[in-house]
Amino acid sequence: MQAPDRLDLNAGCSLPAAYGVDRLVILARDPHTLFAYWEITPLHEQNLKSLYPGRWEAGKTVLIVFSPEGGSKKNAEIPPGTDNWYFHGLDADRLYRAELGRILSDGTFVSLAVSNTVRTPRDSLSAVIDPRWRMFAFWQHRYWRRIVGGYSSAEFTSLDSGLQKED
Amino acid sequence: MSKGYLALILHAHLPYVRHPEYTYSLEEKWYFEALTEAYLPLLSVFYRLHEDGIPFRLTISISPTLAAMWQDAYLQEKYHAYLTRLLDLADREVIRTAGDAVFAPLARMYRFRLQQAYYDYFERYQGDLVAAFRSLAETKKVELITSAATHAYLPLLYTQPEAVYAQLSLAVEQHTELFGSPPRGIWLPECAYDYGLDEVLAELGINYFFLDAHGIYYAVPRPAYGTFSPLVTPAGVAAFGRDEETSKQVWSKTEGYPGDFTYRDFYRDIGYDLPLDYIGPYIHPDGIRVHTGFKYYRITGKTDRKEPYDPEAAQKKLAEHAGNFMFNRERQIEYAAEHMGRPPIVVAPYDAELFGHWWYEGPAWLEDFFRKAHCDQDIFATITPGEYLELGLPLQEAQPSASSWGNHGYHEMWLNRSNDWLYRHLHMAAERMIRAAGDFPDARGLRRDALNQLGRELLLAQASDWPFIMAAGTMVDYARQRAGDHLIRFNRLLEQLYRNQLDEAWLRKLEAADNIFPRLDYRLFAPHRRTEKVRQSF
Repeated sequence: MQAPDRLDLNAGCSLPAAYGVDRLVILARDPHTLFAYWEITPLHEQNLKSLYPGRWEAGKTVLIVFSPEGGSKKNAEIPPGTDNWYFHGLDADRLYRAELGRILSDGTFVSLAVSNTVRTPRDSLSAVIDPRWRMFAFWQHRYWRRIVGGYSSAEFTSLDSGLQKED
Repeated sequence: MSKGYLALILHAHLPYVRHPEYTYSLEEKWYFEALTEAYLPLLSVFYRLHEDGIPFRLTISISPTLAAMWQDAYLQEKYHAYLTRLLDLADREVIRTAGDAVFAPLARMYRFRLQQAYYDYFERYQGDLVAAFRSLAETKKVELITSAATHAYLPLLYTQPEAVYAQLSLAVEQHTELFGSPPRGIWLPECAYDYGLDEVLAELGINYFFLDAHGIYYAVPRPAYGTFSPLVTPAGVAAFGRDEETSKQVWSKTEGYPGDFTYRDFYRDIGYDLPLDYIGPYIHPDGIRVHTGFKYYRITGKTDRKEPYDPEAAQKKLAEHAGNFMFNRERQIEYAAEHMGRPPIVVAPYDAELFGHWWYEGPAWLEDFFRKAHCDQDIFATITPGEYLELGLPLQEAQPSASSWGNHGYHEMWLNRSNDWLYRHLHMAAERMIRAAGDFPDARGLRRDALNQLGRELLLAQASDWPFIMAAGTMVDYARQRAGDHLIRFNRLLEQLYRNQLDEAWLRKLEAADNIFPRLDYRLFAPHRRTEKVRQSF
């Protein structure tokens, strides 16, 4: 599959390990999980480090996830050399933002980067009912049950007519 | 007078695969197989239904990468060589099986099918499937829609809204140019939706898109009719939800029609079964065994002892399944109509390649279903989403949920440990592309060519197929290489551009290798006022 002329087009180049741009990016993967990746340039880190001699080295790197809509913050300690993280156990349908930083030995938090904002997807029926669009009983109860139960329409309608007789 | 509607949607897509540098490419074979086994037989079905006066309705989304491959002269030539070789194998198979009461008719069946494909492609359609589908759409029985330019997984690229805008805008542009009118609807790749995408669709004049069922169910406020009616999003675009029952009846590995034991087995193929000295010229030149398309057995059951395929039994079975599908739609639509007090719509989308390639009997099943639905019942009619919207029924306004039709219903298939490394590169390339389009607002000559090629490399790297293949675990090296190749080319070309050291000879090679969207204008990526609104809504 490896034809020399195809590789030639890339002239032995490879993807860079870093782009020299400080950034923290988060993506909502599902209602309860965010993926974060980041790049912190050596210069940026060095500058901050020089401001807190000793305390910086004795500190630890953390990724904090919080919602601008309120609620508690969650954080994870990031092992050295890590540049991405999956954050689990979040709430569905909520705005989230993340901040990467260093907690120094004296407890001071120093920010390295702040992320974009994302909204996690929903994972349940909404409690909001538009009065102009009244809910239909069949939809709320019987049809929903059919979907969960995995009946075919023919099976369900015969079952449903039985239920109606019982009603 | 029908009580409701069924909208069948076929999504036709393959990644942009074109390798003039290889004499044999497994990836081009995907495309040739899809042509021979799915697109051409499906076209025959639709034209036959039309010629027989069946008033069927169907929606087909044609991804811009697929349409571009249909247009490509190199792939047309190579398809000729591919089919010719298979026809040669077909002749040899007819000779090899001569006198065998079971296998000889099967060998003749395949030879006939290949001859038919050859005739259709090179004689009837003159190698131009774009024109074939355009003519089909002119019958007004088939509605053609588009997908994102290179089938990018849009929610994961949303960090650069301009990149999403470029994917969609280019798709609309290509569709309009090739098929003669702007698409009314779009198939968002993998049904993947995120908040704010509808704003971009509205900007581009698109009237509707599709969501998986939970994208509709979990909308706010709660949808009154579930997937039996589209919603209208805050941006004013209609969102149709995939019906779960029709999906399961066709897709499900365990209960779906295609898994019936009578149907032809996909995996048992003479490419694996026959001795190398016979099959050698028809498989990979390195002797790697591959599918040839000659498959003589039926699924039989959960066993390796497969029994020979019986086309007549399969024909009976598919007629039975078409009848079952119709019967369930009748009950479903009748029931929903009674409770809703208005005509429901059942939306049933499938990958086009399922029909004929994976599910050999699929095109015949579809044809039989359309004929039965016309002749044997009047409870529902088939419809396109565009026509349904023309009925003018009031639609509930709601914000659908972010979702996809992938595993677990969200973005996990395209964002997990196997492929997450890709996104930092894709986002950075998009960021740089946008900046370059802003830095060189009116480039000319070589510089303009370089900027346009940057756009192509970025678009090709963004295909959802690469992270999907990485997660699926087959052909992973190819997917990693393709995504990586385009990004490396992008980075190198961008560096040359900013250093004012463009290597023209190399650029021309890139243009020849990655030649999609020949009329692409890089300014499409410019920081755009339209995306401001999208940024705010995001």
